[in-house]
Amino acid sequence: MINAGMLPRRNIVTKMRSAFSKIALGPTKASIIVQIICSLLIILFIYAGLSKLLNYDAFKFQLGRSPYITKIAGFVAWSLPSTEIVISILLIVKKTKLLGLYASFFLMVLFTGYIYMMLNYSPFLPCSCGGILSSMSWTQHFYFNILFTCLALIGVLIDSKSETS
Amino acid sequence: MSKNIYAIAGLALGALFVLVALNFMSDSPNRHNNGFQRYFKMNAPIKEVNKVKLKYSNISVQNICGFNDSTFFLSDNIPGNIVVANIKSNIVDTIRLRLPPIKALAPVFYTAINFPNISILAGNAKVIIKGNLQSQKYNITHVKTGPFSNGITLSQETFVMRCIDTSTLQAVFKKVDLNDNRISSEKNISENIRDAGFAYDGYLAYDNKTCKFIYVSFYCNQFVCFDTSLNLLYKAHTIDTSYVPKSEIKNLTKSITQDSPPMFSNKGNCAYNGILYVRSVLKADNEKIKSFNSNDVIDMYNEKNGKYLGSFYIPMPNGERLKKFLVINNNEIVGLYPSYLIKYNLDNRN
Repeated sequence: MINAGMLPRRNIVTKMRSAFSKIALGPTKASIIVQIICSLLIILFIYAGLSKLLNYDAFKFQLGRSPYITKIAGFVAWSLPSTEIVISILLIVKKTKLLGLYASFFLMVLFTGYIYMMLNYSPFLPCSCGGILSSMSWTQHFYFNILFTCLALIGVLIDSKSETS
Repeated sequence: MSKNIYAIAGLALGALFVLVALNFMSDSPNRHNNGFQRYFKMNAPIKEVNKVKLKYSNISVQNICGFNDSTFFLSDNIPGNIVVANIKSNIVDTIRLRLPPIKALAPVFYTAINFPNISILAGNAKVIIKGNLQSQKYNITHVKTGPFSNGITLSQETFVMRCIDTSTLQAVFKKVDLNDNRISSEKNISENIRDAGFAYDGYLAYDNKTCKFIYVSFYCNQFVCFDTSLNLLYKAHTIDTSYVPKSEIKNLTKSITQDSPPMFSNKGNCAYNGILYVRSVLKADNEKIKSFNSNDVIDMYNEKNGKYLGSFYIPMPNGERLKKFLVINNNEIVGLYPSYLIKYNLDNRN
């Protein structure tokens, strides 16, 4: 029995699959692109993770001022930088690179969505957190995150394709 | 490949789920009853009279700093930019002020224009700039008030602001008279707490018809009324039940700030001809959530005694919330939005 609701979803998947298969990248080119993406993500996560851990008190304090995180600021303050560093390690190790790219994508979608929520729905906008990102406004931060979300997505698509082939 | 696409979609949905959970965990005051009622004589929002689109994308309008008939002067987040919007002819222009370089002029500054005179009160720079828009000549005076917020220009020589005493960290209203370089302080208007002005941060409005000041707190329901000699007339409360600011103040090594997100009760006010208008962000128990979310609500109070008079809705153009508003005569109010300046008719408010 065919579930009518499945048909459009299958079409989307087929369309995406065919569109992506048209991007013909040689194994070396694909590997270089994935390597560049992984390197950028590693630099971002190591830098962001370490700067949060080194300025732990300030980071925890800033999280506590966010209307959405204030109740779990203590938990997020240590778990977020730890996750960023773990993801960096996953990206460095060849065997876990794809898993790292998936995790990077998840984290970047989460960050982007969070900033969107803060910009559009939050009753209060505290100043942004430490590191390079402190010099960015919330809006600049939002676009920066979109860029890295796209990079992680491209990385997943290319790497999973090359792993299958 | 299809497995990967499902995995990507699953992760994106997972992230969305986390965000929805965070939203539900947060303290949103309008998700539950706030314990007060509003009184509306009319159910519909007030009617728009004129509208001008503020089309300059590189300019972020912040405040209405003066008006002359149908021409409104709006301040940008850069002190040197003044947006001139004519609400009848729909013309928008910009004036670039040729200000001398002053350290820390932005972001805390208050511009007032009584054309062609202009004054800029810079709270962090602790300076008062007086000038003329036509001649573009400016006079700069450094004032010994300490850093301040809420600067109001009473005349070209007298100013009132909420100053922070850097030694006691207490916020007090001060009046600066440049005629004789005199600074006078209030005695019993502000709360006696060393909060660097954060806990009772608010918005100061001046009613030039009754010559009274009204200061309404952002984070609690308190408002105070005082005269031009800084004598307290009365303290009163807005209709909501947020009696105490919920946020604590934390003293950091270099600065002082709130250690948790402050909960807003009010987000701006103005006073005209004996009536105080307060934009509340708290939903009353008798309001429909749909009406509250699709309009800005203004509560009115009698300026003589602080008694509640009633409320009305201002519609939201394209979903934009009011940044500032100003009652310009007995039957007209002007709303400033990120992309529009709109004049409304107040005749049917009560």
